[in-house]
Amino acid sequence: MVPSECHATRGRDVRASPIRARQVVIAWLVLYFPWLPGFPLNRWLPSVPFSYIVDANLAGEYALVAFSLVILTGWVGQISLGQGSFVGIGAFTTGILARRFGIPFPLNLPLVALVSAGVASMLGLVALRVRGLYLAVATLIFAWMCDAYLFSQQWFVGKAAASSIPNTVIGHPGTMTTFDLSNQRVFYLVVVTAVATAWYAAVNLRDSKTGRAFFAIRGSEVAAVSLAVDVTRYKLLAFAVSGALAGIAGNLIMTNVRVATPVVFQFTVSLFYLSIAVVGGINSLGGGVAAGILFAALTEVFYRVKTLTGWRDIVAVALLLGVLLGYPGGLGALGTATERRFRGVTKWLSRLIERPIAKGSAMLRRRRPSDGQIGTVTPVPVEVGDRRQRRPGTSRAAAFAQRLPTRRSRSPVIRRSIDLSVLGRTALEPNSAVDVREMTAGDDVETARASWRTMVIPPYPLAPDRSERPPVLEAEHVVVRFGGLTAVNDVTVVVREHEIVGLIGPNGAGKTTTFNAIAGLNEPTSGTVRLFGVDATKFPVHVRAQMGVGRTFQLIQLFPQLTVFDNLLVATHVHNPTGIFSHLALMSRAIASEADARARVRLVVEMLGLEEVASRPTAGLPFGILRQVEIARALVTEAPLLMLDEPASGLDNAETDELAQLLYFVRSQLGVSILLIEHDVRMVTAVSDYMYVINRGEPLADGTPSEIQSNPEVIAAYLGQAEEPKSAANDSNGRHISSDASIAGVEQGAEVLT
Amino acid sequence: MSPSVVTTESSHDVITDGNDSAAALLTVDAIDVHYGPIQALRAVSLTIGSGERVALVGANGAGKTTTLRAISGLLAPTRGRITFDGEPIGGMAANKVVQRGIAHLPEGRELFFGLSVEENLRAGFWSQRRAGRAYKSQRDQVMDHFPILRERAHQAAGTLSGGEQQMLGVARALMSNPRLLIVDELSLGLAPKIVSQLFDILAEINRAGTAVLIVEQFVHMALANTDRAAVLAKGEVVLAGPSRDLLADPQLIATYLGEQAPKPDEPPRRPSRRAPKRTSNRT
Amino acid sequence: MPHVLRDLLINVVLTVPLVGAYTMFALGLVFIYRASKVLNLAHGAMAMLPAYIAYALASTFGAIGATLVALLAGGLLGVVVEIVVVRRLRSASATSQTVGTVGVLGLLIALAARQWGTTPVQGVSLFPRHTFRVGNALLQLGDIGTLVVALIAAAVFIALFRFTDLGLAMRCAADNRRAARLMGIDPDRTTSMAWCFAGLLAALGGIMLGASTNLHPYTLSLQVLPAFVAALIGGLESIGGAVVGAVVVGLTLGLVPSFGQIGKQVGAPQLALAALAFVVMSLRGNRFSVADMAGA
Repeated sequence: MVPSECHATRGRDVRASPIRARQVVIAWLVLYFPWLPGFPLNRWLPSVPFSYIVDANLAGEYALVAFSLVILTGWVGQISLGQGSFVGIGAFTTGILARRFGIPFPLNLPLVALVSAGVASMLGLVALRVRGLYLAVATLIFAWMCDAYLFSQQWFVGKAAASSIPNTVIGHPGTMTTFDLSNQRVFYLVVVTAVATAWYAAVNLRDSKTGRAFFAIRGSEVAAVSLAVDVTRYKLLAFAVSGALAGIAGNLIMTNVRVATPVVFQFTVSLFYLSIAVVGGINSLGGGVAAGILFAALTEVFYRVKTLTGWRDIVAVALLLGVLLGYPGGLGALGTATERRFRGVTKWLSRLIERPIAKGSAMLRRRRPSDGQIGTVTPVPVEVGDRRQRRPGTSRAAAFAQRLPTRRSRSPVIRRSIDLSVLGRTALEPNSAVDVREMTAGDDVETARASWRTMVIPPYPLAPDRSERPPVLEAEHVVVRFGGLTAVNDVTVVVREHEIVGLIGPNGAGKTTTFNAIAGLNEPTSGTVRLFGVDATKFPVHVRAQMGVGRTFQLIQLFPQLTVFDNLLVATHVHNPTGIFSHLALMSRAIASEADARARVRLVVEMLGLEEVASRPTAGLPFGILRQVEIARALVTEAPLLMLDEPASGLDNAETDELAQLLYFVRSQLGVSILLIEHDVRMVTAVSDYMYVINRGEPLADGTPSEIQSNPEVIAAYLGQAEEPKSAANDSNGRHISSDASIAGVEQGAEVLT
Repeated sequence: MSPSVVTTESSHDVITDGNDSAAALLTVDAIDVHYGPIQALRAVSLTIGSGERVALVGANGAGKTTTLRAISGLLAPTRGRITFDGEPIGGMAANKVVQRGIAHLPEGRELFFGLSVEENLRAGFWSQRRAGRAYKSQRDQVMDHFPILRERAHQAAGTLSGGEQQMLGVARALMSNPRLLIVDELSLGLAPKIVSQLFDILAEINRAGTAVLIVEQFVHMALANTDRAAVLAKGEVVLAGPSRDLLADPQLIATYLGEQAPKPDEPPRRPSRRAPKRTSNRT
Repeated sequence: MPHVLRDLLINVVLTVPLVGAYTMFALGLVFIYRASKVLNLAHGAMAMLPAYIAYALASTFGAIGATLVALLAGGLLGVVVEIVVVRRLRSASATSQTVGTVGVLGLLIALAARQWGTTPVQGVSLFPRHTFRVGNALLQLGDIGTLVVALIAAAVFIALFRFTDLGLAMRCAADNRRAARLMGIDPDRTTSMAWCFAGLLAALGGIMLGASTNLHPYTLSLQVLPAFVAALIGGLESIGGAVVGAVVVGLTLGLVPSFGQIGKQVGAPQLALAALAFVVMSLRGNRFSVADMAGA
């Protein structure tokens, strides 16, 4: 069988992928040969009853629809209650193509896939506007509309509400090479081929850049878009892929049965398909296949046992509810748990199977020169979690910089900012003036592992005059209004190269609004945002991310279903030039870029000492580590500008200290510039080179930390006033604290500070 | 470290010092609170006597609101005990806690904005419906503190000004006839003049015998209006004592704004802040 | 062209029972959405099952007795769905909650189909079989009755919401769950009550609709979709808006066949309604922008 789902999030090495392809071929051959007409084994094998073959075909069709739901709902989180309609569209389109245009089976399949992909992406356009519950309703209305309108149109479903097509026979009748598709045994080969191919392609997709973009959208759209994932495009893509798979299932059903009526595709059928996917475990392809087999078996049983007739749908939906309420992982999770219990056996089995395959693939690789690079593209100096192999004397930062390939993006915006990416590149080179000394000797493994945590980091050699440092980010006179409310008024924030800049302000001061305006999450009413000298005010978030902005979030936005390593892998999206077709077919380009992505992530993991947690899911990790992982993820994008939204919130003192140390470390190693929003003023004053203070949406002060700390207005804004200021009588809306309100508390505070 | 810095263990002593423990209305004993993987509170202890005014201050994110939520039952402590009037209330649902006599005005007011002023007050009286008190007399008694609300009785709460909303929040909390009134961020978004009016009203209420626990970002305002206070930082009580004494404590300011940044010509230091360490072991 | 106008009028008149039923469904959806922030996809099925129960019991208990039993069953069904499915999925994702209600929808349809078959039957009518002639169209007394009952039900529920303690508690919990808890209100209980009322309303709508059109497990269950559109038009949280939305939806469905050849096609009204729904969603979709998700 094809590799099991259990490794889905374990950061499996891509070099396993060629092996995966061979496994699929073998699995296919195993399932294929016993029924090949004229195959000699047929004489020795017990002949399989006809109805079982019919059921197997049914199971295959169920599995295909389950795949389409797994991809759309399980991976991308876009719920669809109208999958049956796509299947129906596929079936009826097949009918039209075969009857009207005389296009026979193997040729009409890709056309049908295209048509249903197109219809599905039209529904996907709705998904761009609505989410969650609303999307569910939208798909439901779509299904209802198909039922009521589309499937009752004569031009679409044929006369007498039934579409029928002629049989397809390939080859000369009566010879050994005849493929009469009305023969269920022959059609079985077609179904197995389709399922195996779809499974193979889907697994490839899952472990690729595209699959990670899908998971990212499901986990957190806002994080995905900040990692340069074009959410619009990938959502539509997911709908298209899902629609294509459902359409293919429809095509197969039509080709097999040769007649279709609308009632077969009404909404209850969508529900039945949804039950299959949920019972299989909505994320799991293998679970989908298992559930397809289960539901086909149920169909057979409920057909055979007369007393059970009519109970199939009840049992199907009851299974759906039961799985949802009791065991949300479904059959996929059950499989994983079972495999874990019998790990010894499975290991032995997989060794038994994979060794000859690996040998075979090595032979194949020798013959194909392009594949030969796979091994050499990834001379990663260190494997994750193993430091003994590290070559002495190699600066990890140097290795990191060395490994950065220059890539050109096809986006027109980026092309305009190619010199910016050069700026990014130079900024990422380690500063030779910085001498990184390790405090402890190498014999203490524990401390060596976490070397940056104990390192003494000298001050960064910034130009003493701030105006001499070239600006990286200039947000000038930013105004953000929501309706009539002015959330941010005329705020200016400038980050210059290699600086750590703090943006502080009391509760509700407008820090996050300013930050989101800079990152592109909300458009400023007026003002400009320039990144690396280019006016980026109108650029969407993912384009700013492509330009070189990495960010973290106040409420951590890691992708909860993925491991730490896979979370970081998502951030390689911006470097990866490969497209979906190379992922589906696992072309050598996709393999090479995947290896490159993994190498990149490994470097960051190693640089930040995250080896121990790399293969663990993010759920359940200490909060301080999660903050570090989020920063690591931003670093993987190689963004020269990091924007950190309250990175110290939720951390205790020791963790906050470690965070500050990390910021110093990445700046000294990579020369990044950092903009930091914090309400923990102590932390900001400790790490910042320059600070901006805003209060009630207005700029209050800016300057070096010591200037800020002794600024009486800042102290007043933070500590409040001991008593009502006499001058505040006419200040009824409290927009501004007058500076002449020199009250006891403020003076006292100022004394304490000086 | 300054001598007034107290550890969690001793802060408990300080805060109960001078109070007969039998008279303690509310005792919070070394509670931890978690939000998923985040530990928001670490062994926080607090005592409030009958009719006392206590402030909880600290920087944003220090755990003040979390402490209040644990007391009023919106959050369950993962460790430690909370007793009110001698009975344990830790982990009890908020709708039960309010019947015991704790009223909590949450941060951001959390009025029923779509409902009228009168309906908000009726909602505030919900826990007293079956306690044999008349709604009308209770409402009139509460409204005496807030004459403006009488005029606005049929207006939707969402249309009130910020100050009026906060008054309605206090009034709604008082409708449950509480023995302990908890107020979170009274000053949030309000002009200083309004805030001082509100503090005057709280003082009136307190004189009538209701204990008051306030959380306030603006530390001077909080300390000027309370008898005792505790300072939270990063989910721990770092300072506690009479409010007047705390005002003079340099550690208080450091908790908020950090120590002075190094002079540019000084040798660099690790960006470490010397926050007081706890003596109790975290488990 | 007077016959066009007459057709138009007739079609408007024919929408009367639909408007009544959609009003009741939309009200139930709004109740449930306000109480538990769930779009109850099973609402139509929660209407269909009691309608079948009334139909099945009519011969034993008479029309009125059967209707009362069915209404009780509807309320009970609402509570059961809330406690067994919705409450348990509250901590799960919105996807799970939706799939949960969809599961209930499928289960109820399948059960009804198993029990009563998929041949349409005539539901129990509370009103005498008396027909009016409006132009060429025949309008039953029951159709007008449906609308009247719907409007009365709407009035009763609005009054309940506005003037009783229970209504106050439900509105508080809908407005701010946490604050309601701080007042001593148990929002879980008010949520169950809301589902109970919504179940009652659904049952009433189902029985009425089953009497004036037909009873069919699948068709009747999906009659909730126009009601969804009605609730969406009204903004999902507003009772008055839901009533207005129901009228808009009813008229859309009723009037499309008056518009020429295209309008007379099978399924054209549904197509028009789907288009309307997508337009409304796209307009309201602004509320779910990425910036909102970034959090404050």
